[in-house]
Amino acid sequence: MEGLKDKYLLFKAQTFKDADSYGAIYDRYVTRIYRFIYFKVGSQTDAEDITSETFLKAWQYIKESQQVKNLNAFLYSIARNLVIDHYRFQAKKMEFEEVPIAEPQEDNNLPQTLDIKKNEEKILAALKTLKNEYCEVLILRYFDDVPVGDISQIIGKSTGNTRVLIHRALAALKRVVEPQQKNEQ
Amino acid sequence: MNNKELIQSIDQLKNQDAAGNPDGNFVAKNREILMMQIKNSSVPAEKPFTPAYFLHMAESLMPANLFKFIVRPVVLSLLVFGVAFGSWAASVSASYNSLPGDKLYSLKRMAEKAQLTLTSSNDKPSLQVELASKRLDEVAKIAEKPSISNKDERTKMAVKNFTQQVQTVKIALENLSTEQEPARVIEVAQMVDRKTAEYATVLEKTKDSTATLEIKKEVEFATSAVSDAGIKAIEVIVKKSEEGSLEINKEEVANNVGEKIKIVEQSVNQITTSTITSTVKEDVKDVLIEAKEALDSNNFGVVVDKLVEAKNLVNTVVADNQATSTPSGATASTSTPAGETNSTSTQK
Repeated sequence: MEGLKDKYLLFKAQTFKDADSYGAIYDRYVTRIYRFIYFKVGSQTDAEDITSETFLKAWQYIKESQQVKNLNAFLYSIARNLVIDHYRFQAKKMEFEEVPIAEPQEDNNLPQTLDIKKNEEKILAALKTLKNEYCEVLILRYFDDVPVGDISQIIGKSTGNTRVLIHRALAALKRVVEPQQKNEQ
Repeated sequence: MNNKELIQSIDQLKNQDAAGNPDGNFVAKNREILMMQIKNSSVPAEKPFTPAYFLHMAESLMPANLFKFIVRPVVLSLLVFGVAFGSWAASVSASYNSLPGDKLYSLKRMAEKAQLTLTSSNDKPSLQVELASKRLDEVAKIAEKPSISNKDERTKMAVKNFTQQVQTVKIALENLSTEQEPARVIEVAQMVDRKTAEYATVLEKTKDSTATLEIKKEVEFATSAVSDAGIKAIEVIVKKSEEGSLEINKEEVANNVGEKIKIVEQSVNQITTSTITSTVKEDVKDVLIEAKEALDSNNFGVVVDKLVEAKNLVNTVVADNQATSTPSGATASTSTPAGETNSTSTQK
């Protein structure tokens, strides 16, 4: 049903260039897209900038009457490409200006004031220590409930490979979390 | 911690701000800016509700495989069928006013045949009568057009078509009388009787306005066929009313039978006298006298039998005359309606 609503909003936005329909799409996706970007860049400011750019770019694409078959995969793909561009830009900047950039895995700007349960805090920290592609698929699959088929489109792999990747990512997370728990016990 | 517990823990992280939920102010402000940019950069498009629009809507809303493998092939098939059927319907409607000799005339006849095939056996006789009227209209239309090419040939063809159609009506009436209930058969027979009277009048006018001898002969055959059909109608009315013990308007039937007797008398008088025909002519006159006597005593069954007998004798003589006047006997037998009538009456 949710998928049908997405399709309907996308159809209206594409066919009638309806700003309100696109606004509804923004409302439905902004949290997920922001979280996805935030986990990748680790900076609230950068995440906000890239999120804004993602939705603007998506609108420009829709406005030009380009065919969009899967809204979910479409928005995440734009966000992912913008994150890649962001890192490329940062790398060039570092090359010329020699300014150190923050490691994406580092937890520099995460708000620490909230009452996160200890276990979940560890999982969150463990997620940030994982390989970029593992972290990416786990967020997509278990944070944002993106179907495996859509994830495969976003990361450009086959569905089978994506399943294997998710399985390995989950195992890697487990390997990081479990020793910590044993030490505490 | 197993996989399930790990997944549950990740799931619970969703609602934590630390897990990367955006700031509410940012979301609201960014939306405002985005909407402003969108509204400034584009004008809402008003698209007409065309078939392409609905197809695009179906493609957008349906699952990709359902659209690709079911909806699109079905829509395409319907379009192909629609175009094919539409062009057929357009050609048929264009052929509606065509006349014998026109290029589209065969298409018109094909459409009529298709209509006949799709009509129930109950309604077939009515449709056959309607088609006979159309054939006669064609004769009249050709006659009305002074500058039409091959006028004589076309008139001849149109009259022949009409004759064949009237014969078909007669056969349909015979078939109907064995299958249907008496009241329905009488109703159809009365309609045929009325129509044959109309046909006879139109044919008389056509014959008068025709200069060619060949066409005059064709019109005579047609008149003979009409007369046969009319007599058949009266026969059916009388026999069926006797079978089903149905009340019929005796005065009306008496008038009709009287007219039919006159028509047979006229056709006897038109036969050119020769040594062979003179005896048959005498026989016909005797039969008609007997018919008139039976009519005076309101014995319609006998009247109709005598009328049919007299008409069959006339048809035999006409067929013989035709055979002797044309070089090929085969041509005469195929073109003479009387010959066919004779064969059916002999079977009876």
